[in-house]
Amino acid sequence: MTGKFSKYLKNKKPILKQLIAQLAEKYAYVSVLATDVTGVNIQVDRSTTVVQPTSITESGFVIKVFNGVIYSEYSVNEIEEKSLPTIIKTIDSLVSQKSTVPHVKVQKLQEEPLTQSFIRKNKGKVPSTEQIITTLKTYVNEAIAYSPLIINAHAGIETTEISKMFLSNVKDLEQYYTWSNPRSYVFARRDSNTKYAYDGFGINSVEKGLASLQASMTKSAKLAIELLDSTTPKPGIYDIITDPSITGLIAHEAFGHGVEMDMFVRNRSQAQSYMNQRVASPLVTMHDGADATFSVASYFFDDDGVLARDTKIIDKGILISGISDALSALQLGTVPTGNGRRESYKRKAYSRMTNTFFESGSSKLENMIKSIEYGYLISTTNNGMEDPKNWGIQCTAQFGREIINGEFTGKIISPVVMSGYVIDLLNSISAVSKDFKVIGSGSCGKGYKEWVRVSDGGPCLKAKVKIG
Amino acid sequence: MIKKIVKSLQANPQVTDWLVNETQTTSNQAFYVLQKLETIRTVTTSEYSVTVYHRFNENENEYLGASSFVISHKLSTKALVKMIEEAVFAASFIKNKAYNLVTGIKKQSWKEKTLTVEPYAMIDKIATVFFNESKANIRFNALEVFLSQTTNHIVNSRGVDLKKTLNKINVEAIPSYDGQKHNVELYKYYTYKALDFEVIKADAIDALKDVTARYDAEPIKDIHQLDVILSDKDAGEFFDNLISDFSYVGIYKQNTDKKIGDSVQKDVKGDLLTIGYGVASKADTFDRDGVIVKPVKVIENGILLNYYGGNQYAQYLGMNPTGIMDMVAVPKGKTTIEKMRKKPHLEIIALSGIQIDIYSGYIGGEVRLALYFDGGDYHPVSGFSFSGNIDACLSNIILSKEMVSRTAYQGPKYIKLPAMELL
Repeated sequence: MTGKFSKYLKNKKPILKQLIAQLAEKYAYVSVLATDVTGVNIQVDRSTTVVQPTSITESGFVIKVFNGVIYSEYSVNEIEEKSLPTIIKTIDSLVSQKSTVPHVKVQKLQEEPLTQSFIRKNKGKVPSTEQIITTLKTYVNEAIAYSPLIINAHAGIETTEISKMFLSNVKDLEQYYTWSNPRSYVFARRDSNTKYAYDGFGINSVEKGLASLQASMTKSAKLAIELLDSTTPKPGIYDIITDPSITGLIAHEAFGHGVEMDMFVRNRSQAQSYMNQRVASPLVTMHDGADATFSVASYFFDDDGVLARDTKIIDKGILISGISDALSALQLGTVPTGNGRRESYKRKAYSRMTNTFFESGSSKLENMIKSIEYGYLISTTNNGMEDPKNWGIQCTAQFGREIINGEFTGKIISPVVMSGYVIDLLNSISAVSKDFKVIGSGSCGKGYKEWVRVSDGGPCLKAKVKIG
Repeated sequence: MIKKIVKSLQANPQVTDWLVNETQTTSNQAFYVLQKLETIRTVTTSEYSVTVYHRFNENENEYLGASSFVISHKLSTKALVKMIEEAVFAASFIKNKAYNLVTGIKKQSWKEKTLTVEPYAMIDKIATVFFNESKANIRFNALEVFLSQTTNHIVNSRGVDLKKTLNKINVEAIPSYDGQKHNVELYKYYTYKALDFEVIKADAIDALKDVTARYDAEPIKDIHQLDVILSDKDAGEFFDNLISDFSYVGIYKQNTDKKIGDSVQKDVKGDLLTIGYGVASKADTFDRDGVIVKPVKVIENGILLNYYGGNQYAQYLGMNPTGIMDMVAVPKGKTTIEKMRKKPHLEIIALSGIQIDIYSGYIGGEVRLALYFDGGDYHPVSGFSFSGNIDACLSNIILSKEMVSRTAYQGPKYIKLPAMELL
């Protein structure tokens, strides 16, 4: 890790300003997003070691122009002074494309002048690649030695440093920040019964992340062995307690996608017609924002050059706000919330979640568990899918622990696929614990594409849900 | 650029072997909101993925360490040399069992036919095909069209020099029905290898027909078990999951205890399965290591016949690499869809996403739209889930005679899974 803003982008700034000045002579709005993201993924298991760039490694530029009719973007990964005429020609050609389909009526983006640099460095030491490999190998060996039932263990850490620059006629923004994602994955087998368990978390310290991974490996090894005795659940409607990971999954899939305001523009969200109405139990208050908590999606400004915010989406059960990118906010006549995010400079910006969570409540977890007559404590996110227009929900957890008459029975189910109607689920929340944890190790797609890093979490919830 | 990278790699004596993968992409994209054009984009990129290998001996064992980095823009020779030094330094700590890189015989290239129409004119035409099928309240509230051409050029230190150029057309379409009762939508994602407006039109018509059915759909009541028919992408995902652990990587890492010759299906009363991998395009000829891909049957008549996969793990197992392919291939079945549909069943049109856990034997999903046949009539149904056990499915699975050919799946268009639980 360099610990500082990209020298490459810094060197490109004068050329980019030159490009903006030249394009501004003919276009009403011009901006450039420049990215330089370096990520390294180191993974070790019992037989092999892999060192490779992470999937979010990228370096390039998005030039955005508005000609009074349509917004057009050119994504390119090489800009030099001598190539400016060619780039301008490409943009002119793009803008002049004829369409038989009519255009959306849209205005020029309005921006407040702002020049600012932001920096957030990795905390603590950055171990060398050799030190990381050696440590991971030790963890793998420890996990394998934990039980003869363990057949393989994977330990890995992704380290990422992100430099982004947003330039327009009135904005000059730079940000540099770092993040690390340690992950564990353990396979266990008894006879021909194979099960796996995983764990992951986010942290802004390679050193601490690597140290904490040891406990994560042990946790995964124990769980993988436990899961050898798991059964698939009997389909039914159950009282459940969610751990913070599943709370976050529900916040994200059940409601988060539905308040991404590019969905409002497309008439794709039912939430739009529920603004200022009750959508959840009064115990529910939900936030999203790069500035709402500190986790993997805590940037300083978004890919539209809008500063990070904390948006309260649901306040005591009442839907009060959505989250938006700049172009969607422009079309809706609202203020952008700093949620314009791109998978990479090669893709469009959409309204996307960042750090999404429910606020903690006042209940004690042990009392919530005691209140369950027959149900499960559901843990560890696997995946989920949104249905913003029709409020269907599908959330899959790694496992659930059976509770009968307020006590854990020792029985475990896996996997746990929860489904139902969003409003029914959110209104069924009858207790919210004092705990609070955000898990910063996730990725989120929009539909089946446009992957960005996100976190989610919150307290433990008591709710009623369909498991099947 | 590739020559400069290779020259710098060859100049470093610590670099035992190397692999450079150049990817050039041109993409034209258009985004439509409520059937109006909102944004257009064009993308032109050239990127280089460089892998350096360091072969070394320790305690009489031979190792091959590898480390990769990406170059996204022009670099000075000094900067490039530094990146190579850092990568080979990292590779020197990586004690992977030694293997050999793919050896090249001759320089070869493959190219799919270039689309001759101007890209945005073609995008406009594709969008128009979708919108022409719409009505005032049954339309595409969102449509995104991507035309991409990608050229991969791989060179390595063992003489591999291969190039392929592939085209792809992707469409994300959101058919929507705004009615008096309620408003509904479905999610559709299409990948086309070639431009056939009749196929695109048929997809548009089907999408609007499906969303109309979702508008009329009711929750399924008092039915707790039914045979379920999956189709297209869901069928492909099901088959893909069944063979995913039989890759060389999966076998070497002991993800499964199955061995060649083992039966994958027990107590078979339905169809015996034959599942493999192939490629959707004749130009898609090599994988990321430069292995010339060979279609492979992984399961034949219910028996594990072959493992499959890339270069490194094939050598660890003493086998020949098949290359890494991404199209699941299944031969046609013996039963027509008409026959499948004769008894009461549930035909899935749209799921939130099929959920398959091969280790617990779970298959299921939340149903956004299905057609329930009660023995006499069809009823569109929605808002419930189905689930079942994979082993039970495999004993009784029925494959259709009708075939589907998409980029990720070529096989029976319909598969029937028996006695699934509904909730």
